[in-house]
Amino acid sequence: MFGHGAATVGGLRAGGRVVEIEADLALVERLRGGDAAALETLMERYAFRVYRLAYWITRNEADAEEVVQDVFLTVFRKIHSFEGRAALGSWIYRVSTNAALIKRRGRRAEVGLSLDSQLPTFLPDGHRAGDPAFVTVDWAQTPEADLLSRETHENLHKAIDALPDRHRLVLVLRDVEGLSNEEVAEVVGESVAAVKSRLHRARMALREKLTRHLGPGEDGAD
Amino acid sequence: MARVTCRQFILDFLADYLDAKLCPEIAADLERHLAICPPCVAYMNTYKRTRELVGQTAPAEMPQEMKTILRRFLAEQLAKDKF
Repeated sequence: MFGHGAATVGGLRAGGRVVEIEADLALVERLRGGDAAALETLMERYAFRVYRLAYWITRNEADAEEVVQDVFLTVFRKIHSFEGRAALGSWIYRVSTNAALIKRRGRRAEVGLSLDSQLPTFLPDGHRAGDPAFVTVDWAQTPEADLLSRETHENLHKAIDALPDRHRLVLVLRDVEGLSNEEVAEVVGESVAAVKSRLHRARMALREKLTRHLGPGEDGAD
Repeated sequence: MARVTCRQFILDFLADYLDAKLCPEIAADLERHLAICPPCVAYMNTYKRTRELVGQTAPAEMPQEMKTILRRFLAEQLAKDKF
């Protein structure tokens, strides 16, 4: 399909994209013909990606499993209505996104989350505001072991979980699934500009939390 | 472009700069700013690393038994569809 992280058919670009589209079209025709082996091929290509996306949206393994089941059943039952205007993978991601969001909203009410307090602030002259030690810290140079430590991952997971659903969704589609901004926009049904803005805010908010964790010490701001 | 501020670099240009989506003239203006602004270099590096860490925290693999469960589920549901 698309995206840097996807394997084989999913990871192709440029000329490979034509091969990928043709492979997907052939798969669609086999699915329409009720070919059981085609369903297996579909699972091999997309089950993990659907699960991973569903897991990141729902943050719950059991819910993610149910989403995977729902999505594949929906795709197989509705394959005749797939018109091919979008790529098959895009359609599957859209079905998955909707199913996962419904599952997520059934579990937890989202109460007016705002990222404003987690975004950088600036002085009137355009420089960043805040403690100079905090503003200049470059933890990207931190040894890899620290960055991959359980504590850092837990902090990052919590920070991702705390994002508003729509921000987490574009972040996962872009930075986990590897879709382009244009592909993400197609999946979520919004403009590229809206996707880019929301994605950037999500990344800045996560960066802020990681900096408080890995930086020169808690600055107390939130 | 007039002199770039930190605010402009971080809020307006950073993401596109890292994706190499900017025209060479604007990219050059940003690089002139980065050459004299260690805080923006630090912000860019940590923003980029944040993006990478997000990509690395995904679950490694769908549990193998899930595929078995999925196959069984689909077979049962599709068999019902035929009646």
